[in-house]
Amino acid sequence: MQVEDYDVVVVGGGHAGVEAAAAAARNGVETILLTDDYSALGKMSCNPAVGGLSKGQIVLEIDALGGLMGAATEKTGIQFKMLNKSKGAAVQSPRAQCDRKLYQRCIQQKVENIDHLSVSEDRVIDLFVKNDTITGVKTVSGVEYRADSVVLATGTFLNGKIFIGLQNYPGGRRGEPASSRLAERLKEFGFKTARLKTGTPPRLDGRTVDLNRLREQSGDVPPPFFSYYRQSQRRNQRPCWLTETNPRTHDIIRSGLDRSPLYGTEEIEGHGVRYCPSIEDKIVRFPDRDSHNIFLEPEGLQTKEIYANGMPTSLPVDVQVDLIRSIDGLEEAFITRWGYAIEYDYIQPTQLHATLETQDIDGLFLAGQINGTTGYEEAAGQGLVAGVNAAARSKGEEDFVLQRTEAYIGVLIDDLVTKGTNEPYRMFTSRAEHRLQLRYDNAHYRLLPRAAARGLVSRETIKAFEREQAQRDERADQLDKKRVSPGSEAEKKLSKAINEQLDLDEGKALSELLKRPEVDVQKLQEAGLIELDLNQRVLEHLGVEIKYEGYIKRQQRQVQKQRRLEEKKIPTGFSYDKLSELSNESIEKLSRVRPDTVGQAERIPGIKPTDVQIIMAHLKGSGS
Amino acid sequence: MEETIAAISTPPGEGGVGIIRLSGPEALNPVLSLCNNPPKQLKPRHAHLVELIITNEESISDRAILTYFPAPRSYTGEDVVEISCHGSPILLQKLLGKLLETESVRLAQPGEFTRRAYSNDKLDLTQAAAVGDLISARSEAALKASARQLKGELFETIRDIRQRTINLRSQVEANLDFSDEEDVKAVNQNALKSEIEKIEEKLSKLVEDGKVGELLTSGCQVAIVGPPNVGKSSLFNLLLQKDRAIVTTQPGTTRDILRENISISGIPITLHDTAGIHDTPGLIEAEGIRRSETALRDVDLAIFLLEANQKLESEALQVNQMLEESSTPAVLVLNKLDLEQKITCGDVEAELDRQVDCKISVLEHNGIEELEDKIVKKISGRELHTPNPIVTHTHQINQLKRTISHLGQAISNLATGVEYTLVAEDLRLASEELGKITGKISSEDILDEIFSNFCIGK
Repeated sequence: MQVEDYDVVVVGGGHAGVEAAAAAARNGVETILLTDDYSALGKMSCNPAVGGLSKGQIVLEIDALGGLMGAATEKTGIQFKMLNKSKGAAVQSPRAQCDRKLYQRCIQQKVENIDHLSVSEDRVIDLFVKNDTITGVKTVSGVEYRADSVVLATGTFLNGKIFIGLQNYPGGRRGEPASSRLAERLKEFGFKTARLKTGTPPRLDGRTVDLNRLREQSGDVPPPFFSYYRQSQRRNQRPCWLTETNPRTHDIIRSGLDRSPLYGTEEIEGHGVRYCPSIEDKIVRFPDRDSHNIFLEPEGLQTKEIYANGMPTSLPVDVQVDLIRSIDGLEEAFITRWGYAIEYDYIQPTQLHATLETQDIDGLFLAGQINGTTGYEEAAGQGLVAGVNAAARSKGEEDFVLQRTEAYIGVLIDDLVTKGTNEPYRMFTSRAEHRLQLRYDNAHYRLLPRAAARGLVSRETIKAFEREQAQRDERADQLDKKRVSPGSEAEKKLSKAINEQLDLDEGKALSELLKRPEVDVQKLQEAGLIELDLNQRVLEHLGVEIKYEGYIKRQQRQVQKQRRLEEKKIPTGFSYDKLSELSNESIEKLSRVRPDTVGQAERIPGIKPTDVQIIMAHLKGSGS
Repeated sequence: MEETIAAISTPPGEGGVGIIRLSGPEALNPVLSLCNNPPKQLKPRHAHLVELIITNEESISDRAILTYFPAPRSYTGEDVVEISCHGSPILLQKLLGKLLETESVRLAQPGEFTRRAYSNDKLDLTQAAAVGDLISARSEAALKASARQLKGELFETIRDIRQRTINLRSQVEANLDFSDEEDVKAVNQNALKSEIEKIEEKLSKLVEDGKVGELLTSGCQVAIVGPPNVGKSSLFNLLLQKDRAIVTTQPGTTRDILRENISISGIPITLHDTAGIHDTPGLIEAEGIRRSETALRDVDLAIFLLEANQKLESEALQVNQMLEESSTPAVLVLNKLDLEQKITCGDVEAELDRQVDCKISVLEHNGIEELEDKIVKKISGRELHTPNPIVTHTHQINQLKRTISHLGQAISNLATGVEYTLVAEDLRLASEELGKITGKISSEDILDEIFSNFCIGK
């Protein structure tokens, strides 16, 4: 057998796989990415869009950590929007439509330009494990890749099965074969797996869609950014269109339910997503609604194909045709690719450490949909963390764990390894108790220093970041120093800008005025109190920090209190059955999750504060 | 493995029925070995009539009812056996002693059954805390409040508040996480405000009732004050229903303060008898009066006693002034209804600027119930039938207060039009505090609510 030696092997070339491989290679370790299809690196297998509520923040976190997704979105986006603009800075998220083909090509280019990273088109069919430690993988071509760390980022390929109506066949993605041998091997190694399902909508030939009758939705000008220091010249933005289902559509769907793998035949056992339900789910679960929105999104600049967002379906093809053609503007539509549902194996992620390394096989890391998540951004964030830790293991460096307080990626991984999931896990801002701190405007302040310490970002990026920090400090100082006095011209101007009489009874610094709900950075600029700055985002960031100050300070106090628990490590193999004071239920839960720290133990649902006290007491007693 | 524990679980003293309870893996065997006629088949949770051997020497036995609750469907979650027999303390002690002779059984510590029930997740925190109170409950009304909490009435009330909070937050959060969804309509600010206020009101009610709850568990201090020889000690004795204080017709007999614990309408009260206040006391009396003054500042309520058969003297004015200075709430009582009346209520009111609350005759035991009613009303601020569930723990009351304060912040933030996200944060903080009492409110709870109410997803 041909033997190749690497430090890190990454299996899978999707969003998790490419970020994992890129992060590992940036750490200077020899890395190889193995994929079924070289040309499909960074493929968007569902909708051609990046970002969205809370996911947009994840993209910026990936960017701050030196990942690829943000920069690729900058380069290949064809429509950009900032969501939740009126709701407050903490919940604002950018979303972009991308050119599907360009995005893929862009990722491929980036990967090809990373030192220490090779890509090979080959299919992994087995893992080599010795003394509960990974030693390498075996491919279908008969190559053995030896490595210190292996990252599995196999997406929906493990025992993947595609459903269209009564038809079903094994497949990892449309037109690509499933990985069943690897799936069986993972089960043999003792991993607990279960089934999940997800779906994708039909795509349409744009020439057969009557767009003129539909509502056009255009992007924001200026467009929001997706990368702090790798921004691109934006091309002209393309519109999307809005249409909707009607009672006739719903009747057609109901008539096809007996041939739906979800309702008629019960062939799908996997759990679906409650927040991305198939169109048949929507009709069944919300029978009173007589209409649902359908967003028609362009697939790219060079193609006429259109993605019908809002109606994933696994109904039989004849029903798909009828229901599409019952919709306004789509009466003549030709379906270029059928919608389908896919069911696949995932590994219950409570079997992982917060580094995404499996608890039972040292050196084996899992990232992306294999861990029960959904979404490109969730996958990419995990890939990056797994990649850094895979490299760290090879180099003998410390674990790289993001806390819930510093990143959505930290919330995501902590939720997965602590609570597990029974449905495809998607991020929401409400999952993050430190939401006010996990923002679009500050991901680089939160994470770039950590990335720099790990060598994940370039020297130029660090320089640019340091310049921005210096600007921020200077600006903050100005806001503290510049004052508006009662009866001054400045007061009059500001009153005019906010459309309200200020009536100050004493002089106030701009930073104090910014605390008022009606005053913001733009208003101060309108009033001519601060000049229009070239680096507007520094000012806006400061404005938000000032507005949230009281709340953030409170949260930081809580974080401080919590730190003791987060830093208290529980040794591997710690045996909970011996703690007789714990209830059987708590012992069962703790033994299942095997938390890395006392902080994590405390977050396991059903674990009581007294349990935590007991564990602390025993850790103290045993001197560890 | 836990040890098996046993204890007499009925209150000390003579009673119709006495209960001994055992809990743990070895609960059943020691009991069966005491049976003259052990039942062939023990049906779980069914009463079995048995004959228990109490002592070997005199071959005394007693008929008893034996009930077996196998784990986990028992109070503690472990194997539990309950023996109901005749309630003689001697009999119970002997039987318990017999059971404790078994090596595997030991005497339970106070509250240990409850601790085990709690650690086996048979009780939640509010219930467990209430059981703790039950064990140490000082009086009847507190017992009722505890029993009500145990039944989960408080838990139900709080769970209703919890559910409202989840509903409220799910609407607010849906507007942040799913604002791009057609199904999620913008929250109506006024509706939001009024719902927050509703929750706030319910919580405030709990806090208000909680004050009574605190009173019920910790009790309060009541002093009888007044000029000399108006019958303070007689009233003290009457309320005590035993002759503790020395009663004479000689003014100034009571020089030190006497204290006794009594219970009025279930409220535990420490009653203070004080020296009469007057102008020209002797040295020892002066010390007694000084102590009375100090006592006045420390009590929760004073019974201001005057006599109806005498004109008001300067001493009455002096006591009145002391009450005003210490701002101690008082019940003004006219005693000696049985004698010839020299003053009317109107006279007293005109003189002291204070309403007469009731007229009594200690000698004839007249008006005492009315007096007790007035005392209870003054202490609790209302009739004390406590129809509402009561939060009795100070730390729970504090959590309720913090919850209310976050809700208040949310309302004021709504009014000033700050970012919606901050209102959401206020509500999150409120639900975090509330969760400490009701069981955690997790983001999953909120998301579940959102997904069951809105059609989400593209």
